[in-house]
Amino acid sequence: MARYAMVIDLKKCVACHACTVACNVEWNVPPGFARTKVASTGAIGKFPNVMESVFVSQCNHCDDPPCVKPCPTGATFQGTDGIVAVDKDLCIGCGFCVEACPYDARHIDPVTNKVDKCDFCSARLQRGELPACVETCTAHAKFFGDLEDRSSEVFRLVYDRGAKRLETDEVAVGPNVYYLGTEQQLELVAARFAPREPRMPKAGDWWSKVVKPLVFAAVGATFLGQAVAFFYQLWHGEEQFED
Amino acid sequence: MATETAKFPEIPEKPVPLSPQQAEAMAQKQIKKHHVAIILLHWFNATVWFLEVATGAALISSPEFRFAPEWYIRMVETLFGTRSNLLHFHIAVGLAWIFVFAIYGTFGFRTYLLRQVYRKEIALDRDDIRWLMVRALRLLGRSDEPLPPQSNYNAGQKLFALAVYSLVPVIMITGLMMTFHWGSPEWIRAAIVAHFTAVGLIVSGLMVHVYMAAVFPEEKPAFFSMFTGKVNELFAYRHHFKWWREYKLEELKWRRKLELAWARTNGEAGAGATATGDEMATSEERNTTFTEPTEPLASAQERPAAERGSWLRRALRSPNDWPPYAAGFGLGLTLLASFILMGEGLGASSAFVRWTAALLGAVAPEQAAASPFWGRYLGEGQSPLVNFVVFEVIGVMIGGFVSGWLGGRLKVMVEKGPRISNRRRYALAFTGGMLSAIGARFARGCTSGQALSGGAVLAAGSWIFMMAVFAAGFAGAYLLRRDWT
Amino acid sequence: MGGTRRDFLRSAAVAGTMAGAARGAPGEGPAPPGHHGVTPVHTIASNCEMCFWRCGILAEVENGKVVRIEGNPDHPLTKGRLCARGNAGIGLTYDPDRLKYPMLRTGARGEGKFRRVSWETALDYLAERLQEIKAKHGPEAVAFFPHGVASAFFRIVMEAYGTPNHAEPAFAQCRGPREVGYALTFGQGLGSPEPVDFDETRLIVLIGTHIGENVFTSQITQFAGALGRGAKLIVVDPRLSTAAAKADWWLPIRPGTDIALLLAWMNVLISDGAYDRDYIRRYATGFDRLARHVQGLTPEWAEPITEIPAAKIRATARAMAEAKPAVALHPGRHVTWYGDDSQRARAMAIVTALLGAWGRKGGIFLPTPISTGKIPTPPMPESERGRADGAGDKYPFASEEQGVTNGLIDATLTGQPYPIKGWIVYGQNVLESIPQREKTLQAIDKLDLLAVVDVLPVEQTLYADLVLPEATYLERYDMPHVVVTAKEPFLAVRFPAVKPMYESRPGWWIAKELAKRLGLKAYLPWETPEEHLEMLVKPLGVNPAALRARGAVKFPGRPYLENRRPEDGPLFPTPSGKIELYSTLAEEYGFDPLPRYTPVEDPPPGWFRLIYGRAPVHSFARSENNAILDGLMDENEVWVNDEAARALSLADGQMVVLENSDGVQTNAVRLRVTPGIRPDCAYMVHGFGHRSPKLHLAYGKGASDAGLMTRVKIDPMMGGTGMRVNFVRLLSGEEAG
Repeated sequence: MARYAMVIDLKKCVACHACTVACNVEWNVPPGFARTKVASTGAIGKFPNVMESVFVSQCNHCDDPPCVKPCPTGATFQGTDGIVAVDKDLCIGCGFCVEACPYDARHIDPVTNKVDKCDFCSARLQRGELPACVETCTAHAKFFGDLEDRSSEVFRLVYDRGAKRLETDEVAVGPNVYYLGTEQQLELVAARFAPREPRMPKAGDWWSKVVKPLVFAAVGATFLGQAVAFFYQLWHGEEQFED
Repeated sequence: MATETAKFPEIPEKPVPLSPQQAEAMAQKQIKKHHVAIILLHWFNATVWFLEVATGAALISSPEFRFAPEWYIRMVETLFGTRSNLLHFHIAVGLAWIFVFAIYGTFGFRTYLLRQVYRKEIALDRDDIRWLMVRALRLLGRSDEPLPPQSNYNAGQKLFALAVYSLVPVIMITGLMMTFHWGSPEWIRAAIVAHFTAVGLIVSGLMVHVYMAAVFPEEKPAFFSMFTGKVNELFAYRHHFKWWREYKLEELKWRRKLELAWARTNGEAGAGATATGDEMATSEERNTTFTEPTEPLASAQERPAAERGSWLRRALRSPNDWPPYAAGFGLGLTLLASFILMGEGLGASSAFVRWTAALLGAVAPEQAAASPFWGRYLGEGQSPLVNFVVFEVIGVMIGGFVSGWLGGRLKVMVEKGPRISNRRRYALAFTGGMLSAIGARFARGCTSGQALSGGAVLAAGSWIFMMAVFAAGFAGAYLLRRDWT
Repeated sequence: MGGTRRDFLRSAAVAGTMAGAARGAPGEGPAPPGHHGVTPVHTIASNCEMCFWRCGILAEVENGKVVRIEGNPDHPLTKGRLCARGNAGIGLTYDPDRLKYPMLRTGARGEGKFRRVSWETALDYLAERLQEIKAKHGPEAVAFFPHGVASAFFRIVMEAYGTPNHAEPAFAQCRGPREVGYALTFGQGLGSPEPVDFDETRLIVLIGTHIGENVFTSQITQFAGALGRGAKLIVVDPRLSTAAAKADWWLPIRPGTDIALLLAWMNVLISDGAYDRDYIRRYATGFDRLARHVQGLTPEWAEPITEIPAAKIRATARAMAEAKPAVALHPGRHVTWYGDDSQRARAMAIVTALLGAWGRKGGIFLPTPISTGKIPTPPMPESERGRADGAGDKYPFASEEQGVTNGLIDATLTGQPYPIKGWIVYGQNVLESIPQREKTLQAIDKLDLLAVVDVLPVEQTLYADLVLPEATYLERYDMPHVVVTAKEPFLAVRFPAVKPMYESRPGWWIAKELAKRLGLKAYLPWETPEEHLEMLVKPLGVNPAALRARGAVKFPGRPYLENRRPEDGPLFPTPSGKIELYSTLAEEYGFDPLPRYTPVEDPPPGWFRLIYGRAPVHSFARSENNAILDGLMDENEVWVNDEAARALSLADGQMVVLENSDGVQTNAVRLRVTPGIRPDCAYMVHGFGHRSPKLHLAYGKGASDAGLMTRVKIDPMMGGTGMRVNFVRLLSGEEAG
């Protein structure tokens, strides 16, 4: 088994966007969308005392992924190696998972109308290659590997160099993308890109809280009614009803 | 109404008590309730509902939304191999369902959807509402009041039909939205919830429908009518009096017209005699004569010979076709045997392909080998004829011959509809043969290889194929109906 | 191909397959065969041309189409890494707007009406026009505007034709001043890639250089590597660039006052006695004169000029002193800013010298020359009339190798020193890369012939008499290029990965066909690219097949002073043979021998100085029509300081029009209000606001900074066009018109 993880060194990353484009080309992500995004916290402060940090985001392949449960069809699932993937065949494009993701790492692909997101380049991993973004990263700021392998670089970066997860007390779902950076960078990023609470769209609330009980009640009631009638029929014998 | 009552005093306006003789006579007499198309449609629909609810329940796996237990979902998944097979199957069946109903709706719009559906299947009258109350009370043993007279469909059926007719389009449209990703995620979310709601409501009604039909003793004739198309007149009289009355009125009108015509040709005034005679008895006789085709009496002379010996011998020597259920069962056993003995299912079209390949290989070996299609068969390292299906098809021919010979049905003839010429029949057979061969190659199998063998192992593609065959058959039969009747 | 890379996770994947869950992990199961797992992919090693850095690529070809480009792990410089644009290369080759066939103009210039012709007709036409001009005005009357390695074959034809007039913006609009400034000081310029030793440095100094936004793959790798190792960073920039945000010291300098800062740094280094005494004593001349020159130029003197606190100037100078000689003071790349740019480059060179960083580990390393085989050709004709662009004459230090583009435009306009009647523009964008576009358009108006060889229908093609479609870099062989400014110099070749699309043709083919028609066949004495390559690389002992397989081949380098050999030539090929802190050569031509600060003008209230730069996902004005990159950034924004914006009641995100002092207005562009820029500057990314409607994606998106550059300040030493001398104001929707 494996527990794949990524470490992103914000100190080294210079926001060159190579990762985004490599990924977009590898996976045919349509223009305007991305599986891995480069962003900035924006300049904060008052000139000339200003600070800013770069930020790179993608699916965190969380230990406890909030996107898996609300997927009605089971298209989103977590593999035994921790990778959260989407079975495109099963996806109907309802976007429950998009709303659920605290990191906004998912989008609906406007060409297929199905959900898309980073899967740590599973297909490349199978060929023994690194994820496209890691392989092309001009700054060597992205590291990928298996956290259960004590000799791996990511293990060293997480457990020796103290790469941090981006989570809050409220939203702690065990993201597996870790960040290195200066204290200031990590603070800026935490303030700007902290995970949000998973959202359940209205339709989902209706479904689970109104429709599902209602259908259960309706089916249950007719079933009960039938059962009563059936036993009544058994009790009184069929003759009564026969002509 | 009043004039009709005056014209046909023999048909009561309200149910009247029947004498035992009358009841017995009516119980013996079958009258037609359902057109064969409706029966087919009903069972097609029933199959679809069964498959769709069974697979749909397994498709919703989210712990937040699912209603089927985990074990059930796993079981269905295992049955289909992967969840995506399961979804493809669900979609294929759903699409076939929509297709068939679209055809039904298009060709039968005026007849069925407007007139019949509204009047007979949906609209509730005062009697219907009264019926609903009495029915419920009777079910619970709280009333002995007789049920108010009902039309073709009783009020319960009508209510259910109303729900079905309004919810089915919702299911279809939302299903299409999810399949083809129409609309933004907000719409898709609304669609899946609506899909679930509509199915849920229908299923709750469906339970009553199934119970009433299959378990409830009073409605048994209705259940059987869904196979035979007929109910006995007594059942019609008791349960669907209004419809029975309409039926009788219609029948009488026809009879009078005929008698009038008869009288005119014979110059006799025989009309009065009928009017004064024993209505029930006469109508029964006449009815049989005029409106119902007689039971087939063919081969009555040979019967004794065929009826001697063991059941197997009788079955083999029977000049008639086997009942389809028995034949189907037998075919299933044959298929099972094929899987067990040969490791593959039955097929037909690939035998022809292989014969053609062998022929081409003999006549133009280089060209055939160069073709990506034929080359595949010729490049197997042995003759393309060394294959189970090739021999199976030869066996089928021999078996068919033997069966016909045993049954005494061997005869040189052109099997065709009564209205068409031999030449047209040949042309149609040739065209159909070409089409099915081409289609079979597209599908990589025909009704045997794909539908039968593939369907038996639950291959999603085969089920899609089968649904398509049914759907296209339904449409094609409509276009070519005159060639066979 | 990189075996280690491919096998990186093989063991993990194998371990994964043992998991027997009902639904295994996505990373498990049999490996798909190719890129998208459908058909086999074959890989061609080549190099990139999304910019001029020429990183090593592997083009993955599936069914005759490049489906993906990866970095070539065997490339000596870029080692398998690729930037955003490099990754998006297929967006260029498969751009539906590409020039597809040769065209002759039928409408008015600029109207964009053409008629499709055959290559035969097109080349005959070009050859005839060239012969006509030669007969009437002499061969010098044709000016050649090339860019990049692709034009190398064509340039041979133009030189053989007899014109000395060729110029590329890489000099007078880009790195010319720094080449001059460093050459005057150290006897040699820097070249490209600039040999900055980030790999070994302890302190990086960037003056106006915005690494991160300005992306050259290997430079990013080395820069980020240095930061990762803990190297310190000083960034001098009026704007909080990506690099500035990472800096230990950000010096938001008042634009145009860099020389004052550099002089103050010299002052601190010398007055502290913190410069590299041994190095200066051993290698340099003119130290005393320099020391006297900077005596009074203290940080306190510089503070009001640069608006950087004296303490910060002192602190940064001391940080440099502490890290010396491993200080990588990046010489910059596009440095034609204020017209005194060669002098600024001189000042940077002097600081580098004082830190003992030239030719030292962690500073600026030295090129190691390698020479390829010579192809036997007749001698090139000598022009009697000399160059028309002023290189070596009006602009004494201008490069005759690269020329002065604006000098050629001036000559075309004025007819001085002699008339210029024909232009051939090859892969260059004269309207976007050279400022004062109106002047360029007027010059074009005077021409008898304008032929453009390009890949995309950019604006200049609309004015051309003849348009020739060139194959993109994924479809052609190009002149092999030697990179000497790498610690291990190397030779790399571009090979076609796929056949040219439409009727586009590779540059070598176009050059040969034209040469044939001009009777100059002898100058390209080979038939096929294979033959050409063999002639060049055989003498180096390089096997062409191996080169083809790996894309590049490297040689041992001697990057530091201590490992130089006699055959590398003199250490400092200056007149004195030493580092000239005091430039006698400059003095000889009447320029300041020591850099001096000349005051700069402040923008009037309500106006901003227009500064500009790059975005990491675009290459100048070349890539905006690339669908992949357009999807990431489809327009630029104008950055304005938050307080300045508040004073003008402008809000973040609103659309504004920029207007310069000459009344030229831009398209409406989004305003980015940020505390991360000085209040006297407005910043925008260069390359947007395309005016060619034939570029369907890029047309009209964003604003063109080049269009606002109606004023320039010419660097008298080398003819460079200082472009950061334009002031703009921001008009909200209603005010513009």
